[in-house]
Amino acid sequence: MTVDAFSPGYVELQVTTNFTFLQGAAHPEELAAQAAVLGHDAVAVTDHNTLAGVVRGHLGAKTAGIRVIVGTRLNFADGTPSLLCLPTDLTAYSRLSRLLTVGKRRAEKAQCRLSATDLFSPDGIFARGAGQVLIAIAPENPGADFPSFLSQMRDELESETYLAATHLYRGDDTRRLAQLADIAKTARIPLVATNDAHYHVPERRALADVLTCIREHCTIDSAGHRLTLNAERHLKPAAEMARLFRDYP
Amino acid sequence: MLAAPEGGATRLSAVTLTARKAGLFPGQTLADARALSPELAVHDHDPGGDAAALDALADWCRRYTPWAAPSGLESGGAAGLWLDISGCAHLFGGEVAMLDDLTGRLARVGYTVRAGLADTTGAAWAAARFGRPAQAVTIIMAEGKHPETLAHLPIAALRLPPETLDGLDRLGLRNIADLAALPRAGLARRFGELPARRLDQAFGQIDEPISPRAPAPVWRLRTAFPEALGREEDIAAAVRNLAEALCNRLARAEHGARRLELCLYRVAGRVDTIEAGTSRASRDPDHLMRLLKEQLDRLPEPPTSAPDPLSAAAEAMVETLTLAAIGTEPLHMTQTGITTGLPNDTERDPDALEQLVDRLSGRLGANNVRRFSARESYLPERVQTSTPALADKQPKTAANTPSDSPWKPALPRPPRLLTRPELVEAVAPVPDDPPVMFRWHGHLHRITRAEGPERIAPEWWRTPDAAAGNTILDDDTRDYYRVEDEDGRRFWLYRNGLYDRHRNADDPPKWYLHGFFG
Repeated sequence: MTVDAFSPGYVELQVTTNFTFLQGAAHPEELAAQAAVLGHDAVAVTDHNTLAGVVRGHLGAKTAGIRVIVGTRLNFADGTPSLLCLPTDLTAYSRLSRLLTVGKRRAEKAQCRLSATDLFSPDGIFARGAGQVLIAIAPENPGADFPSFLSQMRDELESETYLAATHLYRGDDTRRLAQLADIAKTARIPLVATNDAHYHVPERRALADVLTCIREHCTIDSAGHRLTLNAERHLKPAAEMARLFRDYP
Repeated sequence: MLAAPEGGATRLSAVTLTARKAGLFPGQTLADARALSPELAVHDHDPGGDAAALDALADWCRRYTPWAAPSGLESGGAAGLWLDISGCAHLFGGEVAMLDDLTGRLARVGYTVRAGLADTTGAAWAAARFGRPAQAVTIIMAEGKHPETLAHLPIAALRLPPETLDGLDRLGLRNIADLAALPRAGLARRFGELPARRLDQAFGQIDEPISPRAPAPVWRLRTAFPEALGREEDIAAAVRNLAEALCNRLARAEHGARRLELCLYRVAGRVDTIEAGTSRASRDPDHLMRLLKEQLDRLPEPPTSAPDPLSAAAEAMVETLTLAAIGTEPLHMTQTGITTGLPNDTERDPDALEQLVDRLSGRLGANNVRRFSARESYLPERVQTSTPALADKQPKTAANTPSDSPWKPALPRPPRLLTRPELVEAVAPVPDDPPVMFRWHGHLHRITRAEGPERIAPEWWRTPDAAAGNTILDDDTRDYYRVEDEDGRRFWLYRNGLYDRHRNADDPPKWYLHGFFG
């Protein structure tokens, strides 16, 4: 499952579809089809705190002739960095679904409240036991406690743990990636490359921006910095990903 | 006499008293009317103009009470005006005296007035329209005996739509007493709940508030003159008195005015309204007076129908003034410094700038005095904009955390930004590595250090036309790089367009210099 940037294969592991309401701007089928066009041999579907998109993703991937990687992006209410959770077998999947159910029952409709306790508590069943792949998503500006969080994940959880790095095109990517590589090295967990895809082609940025406005109840002129800076959150071919991450094989 | 096309035929929509005596009535076709009286003078009916005139009249009536509203045609019958004079009448020497004053003034400017005064809205409406025909003013003071007092009036006095009136008429119901005697349930089944509600409203059994045309301001002062004022100096002095009184009241409540409204009620039944705004709450009468004076002096010559200049001047005389602070903000007492007021202290006066802004806005127009404000945009040349100086200081942008200053860039921005980016020749590896050298103004800069790219996509929702004043060349996704040349000078360069997504292979993306990092 790990991605070696020098091998011709690349699989996007961080994909938000329109099953994350008002965030993802593409159908799972569109993402799967585009992934196939780009020569990826699989595509992940990791919607935020939900597994709802995986069925359509699975069908789409089947049509496109590639594999789907079932997963969820876990967003925590207490400031814990988000995680990608990719269960690799049935028991791991059922433990993930149980965690999501717990979180959803805690919050109002269409919301899910999870906290670090769910992740680390000794009697929490979710991340105990094999079969779970967890990928920590680096925040835009990793704080001072981010490395210790990674170490805690590595030491206390029995899951495979990775750190995801993404090119944000904010001007300081080189520096940021170096910092993340450093953190990963210290915490002794491998780095994986992702692109946090919200849509399959760059032309969908306009739709993503409109969704942002609906979510934030504002007009496009007043949305300001809540919109995305650029149109890079699409699926990218393996070669481009390899070039972007060439310093970190 | 007014006529309007209705259902294929031109029908009369309003007739004068004389015409009515000649046997004409609203609803008659124009052809019939002409047959009756060939010398008929017909004008086109202008409903918009009627409504505007009614609104103006309602404004004029605010001299008597802030609760003045036009009653439109939706209530059936002719349009009119509502005045709620609760608690106002004693200012004019009682209700009857007030009514006399009102009708007298309106008659003098050429209106035929029918007024009704009653303790319920419904009864007043009925009194005004169906009172004793010989009298212009009808007063119904029933005090709980409404059913008896109103009993003899026709049902039309209940503000019911024509079709309901027709139906009731067919049932042989002629006056209010007939209707009141009917069982309510049956009435409601046949005609809806409106007749019953109108009865209750007329009898004072349910409340019926009047919504005023303009909300009554809390901070409002009024002064009326026994003799109308014509000279500008007199008017200014009167305004000044009002301003001082208003400021005293504001001071007691620790408030300051942001917006002022001065209304001049002229003899001719016309109201001139002056609005002035301040950029900071103020209760300094001198300052407020200066603002009002600017506009008072520039008030246009009132349009007049008077035949000669003398009576035109008479019509333009001011009878009543009101001054209201329609927008206020809390403004706390400040300790006056011992030195303030001295001539050489003015430049340190914290209010001086605001007062200057206010005066300039008053003189040049509120839209012509502007201040810079921050705007959230990723495009560097769009992060600042200008807004009228008197507008609210914080335009509503994103819900940022309060500590987040809108001026503080989230990403590094050069201290000096070129107004228009300048074209440079650059050599850079494709597709998105920083350039290795560039030529600007004939000088070659070799780049030793670089960081980037920061990729900024165009704001797709802006049409090129609307952005014409601000945008540079054609817009494409830009990759910005911070670079340092061998002499240590730092530049901000961008490439307009991406290599792999560029539209035209023969026309590679161009490089621009957009700023300096010092």
